[in-house]
Amino acid sequence: MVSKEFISEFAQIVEQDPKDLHNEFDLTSLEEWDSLAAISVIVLVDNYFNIVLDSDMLTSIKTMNDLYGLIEKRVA
Amino acid sequence: MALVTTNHAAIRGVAASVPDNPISNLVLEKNHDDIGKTSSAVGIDNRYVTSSDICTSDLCLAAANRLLDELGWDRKSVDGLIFLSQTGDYILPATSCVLQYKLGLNSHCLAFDMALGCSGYVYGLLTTFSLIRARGLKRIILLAGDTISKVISPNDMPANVLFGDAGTATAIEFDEEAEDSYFSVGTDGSGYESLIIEAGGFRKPKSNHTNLRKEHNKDKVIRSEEELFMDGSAVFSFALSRVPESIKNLLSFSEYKITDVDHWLFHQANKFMLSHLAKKSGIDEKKMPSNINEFGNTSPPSIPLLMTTHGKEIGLDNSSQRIALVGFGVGLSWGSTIINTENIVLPDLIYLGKGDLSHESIH
Repeated sequence: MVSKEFISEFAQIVEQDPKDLHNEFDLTSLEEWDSLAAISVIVLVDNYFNIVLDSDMLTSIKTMNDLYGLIEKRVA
Repeated sequence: MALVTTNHAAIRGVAASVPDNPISNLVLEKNHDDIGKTSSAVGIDNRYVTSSDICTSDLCLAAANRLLDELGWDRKSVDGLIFLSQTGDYILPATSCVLQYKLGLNSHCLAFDMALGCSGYVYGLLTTFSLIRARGLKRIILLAGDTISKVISPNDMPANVLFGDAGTATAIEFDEEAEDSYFSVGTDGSGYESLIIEAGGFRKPKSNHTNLRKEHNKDKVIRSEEELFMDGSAVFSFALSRVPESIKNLLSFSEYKITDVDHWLFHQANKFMLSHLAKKSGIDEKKMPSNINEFGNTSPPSIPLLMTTHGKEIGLDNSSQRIALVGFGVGLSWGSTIINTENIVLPDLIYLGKGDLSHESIH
């Protein structure tokens, strides 16, 4: 459900190579995963899926899979 | 969400003042390498920050004096004074009472304070317009200001880069011919902890504990409980979910199309948020003036400050316009309004220095 373009824009926010962002990638290990990144991701998800993620839920996730789970739950 | 129509009230003039003390974020960036990312995302190069000698009431007083003089309003003709701020002079009395005296207004004048932040100007206009519509009051001055810089921890770099200080005055008058105004307002108090100064009120009075700076458990910034805490991403997510909905409801309630509005004056929160809100609401950014780069986020006075700095450029001083004003923030609280305006008097922005305070003595 998540496109290549989405992952590539997400990769820019957290300053990583999109190829590295596999499903089990641990976001919490990144220095770049801060509140500013969270804001950018909220906007990115809103642009792609027209949903506004709850910031507390977003900052409590660990992996890319968790992020996809959050989006899926809201889209459904 | 409450939807309200009022009529018979018109904005006659708007004036603003900022402390004569610009602080450049570009200079701050040189000393703190971690804030460059923040200041470029929020789009703020500069802010005006007050000294300990200048209070919100002083900034509002200077703006009101200039405005009354340029409008040529007899001070005895003012029936009402509202002071909208989160940074008043005293716990009590209401700062509006002090300012009624300092402005030399008549004792028949109604005066009270309102305590709201970034949504406040829309609430202030709704209150003022409603008082005028109720008949009896002809002329009201709405003061909106804050000096949030005084309650920010020096270690809180995101907040230091974001907030500026300002005081404004708006003159509103009864006008039989004035067209209807439309308001859409709402509140979600479940987010009250997203923007908060915990200590200093009556829930948690100031003490030797509350002024100690320590690491905050949420954002790890060193601050005391007497200083402002902001959960930036929570406020962001709140604004994105509430503001476009509020605008949509306002448009359908007023039966105006988005293109019927000549200009959109948003609370100047931060640049990134404003452009996303515009996009999400389908508003042409060319119709959305902004002064965030020069003044930062000033809370309640940000919309009238924007009218002062950009009003002439968009012709508010010499034409009839339909404008929309949009505010949102601490509370959490939000509001938007569509107002018809005509030839608003817009005095030049005042840069208030310490030396000017003596001139602002009692009229």
